[in-house]
Amino acid sequence: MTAKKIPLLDVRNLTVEFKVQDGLVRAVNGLSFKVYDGDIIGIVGESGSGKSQSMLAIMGLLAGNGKISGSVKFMGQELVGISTAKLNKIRGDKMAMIFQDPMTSLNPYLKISSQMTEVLMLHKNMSYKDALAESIKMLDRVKIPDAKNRVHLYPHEFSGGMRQRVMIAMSLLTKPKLLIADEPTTALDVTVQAQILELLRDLRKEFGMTIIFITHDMGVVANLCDRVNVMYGGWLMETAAIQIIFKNPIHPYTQALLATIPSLDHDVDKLKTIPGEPPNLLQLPAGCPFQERCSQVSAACTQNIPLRRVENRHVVKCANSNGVAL
Amino acid sequence: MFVKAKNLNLDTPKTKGFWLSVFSRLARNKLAMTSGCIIVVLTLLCIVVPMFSSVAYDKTDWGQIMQSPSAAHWFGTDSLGRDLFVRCFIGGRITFEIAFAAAFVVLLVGIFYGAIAGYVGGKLDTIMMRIVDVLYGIPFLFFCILLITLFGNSMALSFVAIAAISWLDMSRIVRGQTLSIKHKEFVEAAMISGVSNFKIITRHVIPNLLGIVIVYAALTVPNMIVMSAVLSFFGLGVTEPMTSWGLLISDGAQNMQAWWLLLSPATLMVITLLSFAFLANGLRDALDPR
Amino acid sequence: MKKILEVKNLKVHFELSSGLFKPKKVVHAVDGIDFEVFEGETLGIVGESGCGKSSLARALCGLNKITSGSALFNGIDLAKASAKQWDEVHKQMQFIFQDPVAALDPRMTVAEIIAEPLVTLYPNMKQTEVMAKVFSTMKLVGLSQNQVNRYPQEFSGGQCQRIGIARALILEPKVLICDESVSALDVSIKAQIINLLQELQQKLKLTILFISHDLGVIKHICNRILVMYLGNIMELGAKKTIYSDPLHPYTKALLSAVPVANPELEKAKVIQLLEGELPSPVNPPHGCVFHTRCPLASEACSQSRPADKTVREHSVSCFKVN
Repeated sequence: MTAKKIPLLDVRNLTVEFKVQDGLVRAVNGLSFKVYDGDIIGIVGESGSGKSQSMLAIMGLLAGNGKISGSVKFMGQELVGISTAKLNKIRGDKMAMIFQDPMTSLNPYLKISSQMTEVLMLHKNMSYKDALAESIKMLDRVKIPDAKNRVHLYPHEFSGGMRQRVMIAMSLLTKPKLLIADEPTTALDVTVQAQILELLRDLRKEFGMTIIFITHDMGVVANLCDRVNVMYGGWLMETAAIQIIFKNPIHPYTQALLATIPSLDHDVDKLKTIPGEPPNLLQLPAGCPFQERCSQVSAACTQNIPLRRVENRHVVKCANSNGVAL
Repeated sequence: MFVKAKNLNLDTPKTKGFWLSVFSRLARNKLAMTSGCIIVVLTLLCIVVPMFSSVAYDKTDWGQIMQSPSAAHWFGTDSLGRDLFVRCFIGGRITFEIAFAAAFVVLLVGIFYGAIAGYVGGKLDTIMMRIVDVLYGIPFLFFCILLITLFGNSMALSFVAIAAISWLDMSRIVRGQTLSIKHKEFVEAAMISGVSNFKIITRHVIPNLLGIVIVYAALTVPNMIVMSAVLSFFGLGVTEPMTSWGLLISDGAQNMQAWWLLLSPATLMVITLLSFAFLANGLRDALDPR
Repeated sequence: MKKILEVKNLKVHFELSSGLFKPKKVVHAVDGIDFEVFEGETLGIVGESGCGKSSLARALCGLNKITSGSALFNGIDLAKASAKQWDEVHKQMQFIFQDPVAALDPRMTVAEIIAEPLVTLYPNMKQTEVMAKVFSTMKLVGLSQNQVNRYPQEFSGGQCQRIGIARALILEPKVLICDESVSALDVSIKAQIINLLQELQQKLKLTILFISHDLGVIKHICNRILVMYLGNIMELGAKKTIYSDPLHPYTKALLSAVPVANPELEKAKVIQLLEGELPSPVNPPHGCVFHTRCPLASEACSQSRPADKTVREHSVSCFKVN
């Protein structure tokens, strides 16, 4: 029997709520999962699934009217409720995040050199000269041509794909243990996306990083990730290794999601659809948020549904699945 | 609008129109609603008080000059023995008349000028906006004095002068909004549906800028009140025995030892300006809930 | 099959205003393309950013001005059409936008939005006839009649797109141009709208020009596919052969880069990564526009533009393909 490893990130019962004019929005509801060193985990979901909000909560980047409860342990340290000062020591240093639109995550008024050296000078106490040399080395590593000169350019002087590489370079400066990527390739062309995914794979090998990759594209998950978490309406519906989830999805939502994607490798006459609309987070039903669109809905779906382990590291949250309740 | 599904007696569920939902959001803003009520109350007082007052606004009473507030004269009297209470409200009536009338003209001219310049674009837009730029350069008081020299002093003059200066800002704002609206997909959809340019401006562009325009109009009215006060302060525009808040404040400033002469009109004016400002803020929040 | 649209040497160029004394910059969005559209088919137009597919779609519908070349539709040359002729064209050809919510005027009700093209182009129609058509079109796209007085903000993205489709269909056009019409929708809703478009095509015998960057959707819905890069056509052919046997180096790179929802295939796949960056459309490369990033490029490729030739039933624009 192998010794139990300590997870790099241990999320238990994470709940994120927002107080809005019309009521209370529960964006994330009782999310629990573990990320081990070296994993690449994909988080898949549509609008309202909570995939982005859960990661923003972990990084302490929630909007002012957001409230977190539950536990998030990073390298054994509890993140929920710690002071901003303590959090600032961790994020940007051991935990990094890159976003979908690199244009809005980079300060348009500052040169790339200023933005990159700031990270190193802050977290590693480097001098400007050393920080600049390190930044150029990292830009080279992410294949920015002529990095020595381009480091002094402004964000708008880079193309979309290049800007995303700059973001990746910036997030890797401190050699973080965990990189959270929130749909970094969604706005990019497919050929540029292929380059960025290849880059992430190489960098993971070189730096031994753990990556959490948020996306709505199951193809990207198949390409890059080892495991995937499927979210809907703030709930974690299913989590498994990718070989398993594509071959044998258990949760009705995962099954339906995979069936609706028009794929390059096989032809269908008519696409399978999921009837209805994505959930309105202000008016979620009691119990499972997917019940109104589910083909296998039953009376048990309105109750509180536990996570069930179907087999090793394959967990499902569905009233109609078999498995051992966790 | 041009297609009335309502005419066909359809049993459709009640839905909130755009303006209704704006109003319900506004209603939740206590400060804006209070300000709105204050403005309404003041307007009513300005209409009603001079009508029903036992004392006329221009009735002089040599035995009662420079009296501080008392039971007989709630706001006191001025240097000619006239009751300040009535004069404050007749002054308010004049001030509001000028400001609201000017605001109405400014809205009309500004919206059409700005929308046409913004939508048509190109050379026409350049010419129209350069005209606005040139007119901006004319100093306000100089312009008023010019008008007085040509047409003589009167209340109508205040109105013309104020309107002539204020529409410039409104047209700039409307033009800016039009520029962003005209590239929206629903305008392109209207183009593909064969809708003429003029109809696009009136049916799609203008209704979508009314939100900003209303907020700006609510902010413009206090500007106009101040401008008319400035004119009156310098003896331009409204003349004795008629009065306006500007004239009253001018009188008050010249007789500072009679503190009541300055306090009443100044307080009324400040309350009005603040109320418009809060109302405008509330309107802006109600129109853009995000 | 009958040709419904014939495009010859079409160019759509935009002038960028620069300083008073600098020479004007021109964006070569669409730079001389030829293709035909046959009645009843779904032609997919794919490419990445800067390829000109959206500029092409908008030019064919009258939203962008055609700089030169010709586009014959129903006997009218779209490059030279007058405003009256464009009205006739719009009765036969309509457009569905990418952003379903922005395509609807937030101040108008659903009924007004859907009826607008009908009321504008057929001004003599009676109110009752107009409303009858509005209702029948709403039913066609899956909207219920009692939503007719609602405003766009009360609908979801997918429903807004249905309203947009209804508005496009109320004139009973022969051709629908869909400009990335499902790209902004959630995955589960995309499938609903794609199925709807296919249903409508069969029912109403529509011809569809489907512009997208999503190769999976294109493969599902289209009969023929046109691949564009930097304003030029790289390859044009039937769907089956384009996907199974792509000839142009760009098509090959594009197809290999698309991630498939199948881990085994993905792990085994060899992706042809393109080097370099997309050149600026203001200064497209001489000769073949793709040669700066092409793995097969040689001296000849930078000298002149390759002509379209037919190889194994595809029309390919490449010196290296035989």
